[in-house]
Amino acid sequence: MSDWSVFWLAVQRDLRAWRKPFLISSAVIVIGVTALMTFISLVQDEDEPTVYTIGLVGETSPSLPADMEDLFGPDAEAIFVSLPTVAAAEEALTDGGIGVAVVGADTMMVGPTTSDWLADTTYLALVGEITAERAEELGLSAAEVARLADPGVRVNVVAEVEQDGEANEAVATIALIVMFMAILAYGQWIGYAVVEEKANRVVELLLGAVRPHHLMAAKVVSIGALGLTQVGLLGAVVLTFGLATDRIDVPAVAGWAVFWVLVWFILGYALYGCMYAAGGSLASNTQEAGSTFGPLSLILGVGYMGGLISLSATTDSPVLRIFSFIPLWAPLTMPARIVRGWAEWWEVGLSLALMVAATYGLIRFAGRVYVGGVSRATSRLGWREAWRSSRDVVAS
Amino acid sequence: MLELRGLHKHYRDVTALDGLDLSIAPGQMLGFLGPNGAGKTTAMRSVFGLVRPDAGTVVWSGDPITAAVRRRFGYMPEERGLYPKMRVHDQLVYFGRLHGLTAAEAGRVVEQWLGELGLEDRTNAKVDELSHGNQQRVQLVAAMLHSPELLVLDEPFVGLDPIASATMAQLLQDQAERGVAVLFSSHQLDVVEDLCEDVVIVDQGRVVLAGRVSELRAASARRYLDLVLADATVVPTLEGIPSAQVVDIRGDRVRLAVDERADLVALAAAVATVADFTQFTYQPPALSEVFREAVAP
Repeated sequence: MSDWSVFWLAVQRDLRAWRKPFLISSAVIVIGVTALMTFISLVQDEDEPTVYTIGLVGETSPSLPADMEDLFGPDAEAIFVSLPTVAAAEEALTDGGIGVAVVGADTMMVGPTTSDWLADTTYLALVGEITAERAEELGLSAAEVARLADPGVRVNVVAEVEQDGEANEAVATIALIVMFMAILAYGQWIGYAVVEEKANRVVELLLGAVRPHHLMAAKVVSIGALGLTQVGLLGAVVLTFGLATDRIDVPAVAGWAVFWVLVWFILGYALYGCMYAAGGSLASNTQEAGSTFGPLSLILGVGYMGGLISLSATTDSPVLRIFSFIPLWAPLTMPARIVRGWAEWWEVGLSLALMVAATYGLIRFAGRVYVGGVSRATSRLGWREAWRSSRDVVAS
Repeated sequence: MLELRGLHKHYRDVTALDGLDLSIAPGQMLGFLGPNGAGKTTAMRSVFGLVRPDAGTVVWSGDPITAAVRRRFGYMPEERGLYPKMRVHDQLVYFGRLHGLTAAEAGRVVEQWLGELGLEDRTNAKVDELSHGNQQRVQLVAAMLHSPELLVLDEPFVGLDPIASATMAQLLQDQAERGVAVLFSSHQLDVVEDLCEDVVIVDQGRVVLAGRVSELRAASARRYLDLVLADATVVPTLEGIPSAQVVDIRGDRVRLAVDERADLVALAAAVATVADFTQFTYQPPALSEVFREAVAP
C-alpha cells in the first residue's frame, strides 16, 4: 500500500469527520447571509429618490419648478410649497421644514440644513431663468440663446480614469476580510483536529500506519478543501442574491485582482494551516489549545490590520511596503498593494518568491514540531521542546 | 522474528533503556514484565518508530522496520486511542484500510470480529457510547483485524473484569496459534503465568530474567508445601517438622517453605503424623515471586 493511498484515506476520514460541522456552519452562513442581505435591501430602498422641499415666496418664475425638476434628475424629487412672507421662509429654513427658498425672480435663501448640492442646483436654475428672461429682452434668437447656454467649455483628461479601480478595491477589501476570517477559522479547525487526535491518544495508533507529515498534511488539505468550498459558497450566495434582486452591483472585477488574491490566499492558508497544526500538537487538550493558537492569531491579526490600512490609505507607506515582503503578513498586505497599483512587478515577484520559500520552510518546521508534539502525550509542550522531541521519532 | 538488540535510550538524566535485548518468534506468546518505569513501553514504542533508540537496533526478520513493514504489525498502546465520536464500524474499517485492506475486506473482517466478540448490535454505536470493556474489545479488534504478523499490546488486561480478561486471553492465544508473534506487557502476573510459556522481566531498562516460565520457577531454590488442613487447631504442631518452615497461615490453609533437596515422601509422612490434611501440594514459587526476586532492589 503506497504512502499516497494512506494519505488519501486520512484525507477522506477527516472530510467525513468534519462533514457535520461543515454542513451546519454552511447552512448558518447561507441562511445568515441571505437574511442579512434581505434586511439590508429592505432598509436601503435605493429606488426611492431623495425628496427636497422648496419654499416659494412672492412672484417666482412660472417655469422654475419644471426647470428644477429637470436639473434634479431621477435621484431627487422636488416638492414646492408657497410661503406668505420672507420671515415665514426664514423660520421654515431654520427648523428644517424646507431645504431652500426662492424669493421672487432673483433671490434664493439657504439655511443651516441646506445641502451644497441643493444650493448649487437651485442657484443654477435661477441663473437659467434670469438668463432666458434677459436674452428675450435683448431680442436674441433661439440659436443665440442656445449658444449662450452652452459656452462650450472643454474638459481635457490628463490621466485616464481606471474604471475598474473602485471595483477592484472593493473586491480586495472583501477578499481581505474573508481571507483573514477563513485562515483564522479553518486554521483553528485544523489545530483542534490535531489536539483531538492527540488528546484521544488515537494518534499513537495512527502513527503505526501513517507517516506524521502525511497525517498533518491530510488535515490541512481536507479542512482547506472544506474552507475553500465554504468561501465559494459564500461568494455564490452573495452573487446570486445580487443578480436576482438587482439590488447589489456586481463589480466589473479585473481577473488579475481575483487571481492575485487567490494565489496569496492559498499560500497563506497553507502556511498558517500547518502552523496551527503544529500549535495544536503542543497542547494536550482543547483547553490548552487556545493559548497555543493565541500568538498565531495575533500575528495573523497584525497582517490583517496592515491590509486594511493599505486599502484605506491614500498613499503607499514604507511600513506597509515592508509588511508586504514578510511572508507571515504578505498574504494579507501584498494583494491590497497590488490592487492599489502601488506594487512594482519586481516587488510582487520578490514577495512571491519569499512567500513560497517561507511556506516551504515553515511547513517543514511545522511538520517537525507536529511530529515531536503528537508523539509526546505529556502536558503542554513548548515549540523548542517539540522540535527537539521530533528527533526521537523514527516513524517520520 | 522481532529482535530488539542492545537498545539504549536516555531522556536527559533518566535511563529508559539500558542495553535491552529481546526476541520473539512467530507463534510465540511472550509476557513482557517489569515494574513501572522499567522501560517496557519505551521498548514497545521503539518497534513502531515512536521512539528512536540512542543505540541498538530493532529488526524484523533481520531487516530494519520500514513504514510498509510497520503496517503489517498490530499495536494496542498503553493509553487507549479511538475516535470517541466515530461509529465503531466506520472506525474499524478505517484502521483496516490504513493497514492495507480493501473497503470490502475491511467491512467483512470487522463484522466477523464484532460478531465473535458479541458486539454485533453495537456496530453503529459511537465509541464513547460503549462501556469500558467494550471499548477495550474494539481497541483489540483495531490492532488485529488486518491479520498482523506481530501483535504488540501494552497492558491489554488493565481494567477488564474476569470474564473480559478470559475472552482477551483466549483471543491472544488464538492469534499465537495462528502463527502471530504476540508480545504483551502486564502487571497481572497470574494471567501471564496462565497464558505465556515465555516471559522477559526487565528492570531499569535491562533484562533481568528471561526464559520459559516453568524453567524460571524451577530454577528457584525455594519450594512450597501447601496444605489444606482437616482441623485448623493443629497448626502449631507443624512447627517441629524438619527442613520445613511455616511461612503463611490463613484459616485451614498453611504454607511451608521447604528445601528443594528435601525428601518429599519423608516430608509428607512427617506432616501426616502431626496433622490431618485434605490437600497436599508441593510446588516451586509462583511467577509473581520469581518476579519480585528478580526486580528486588
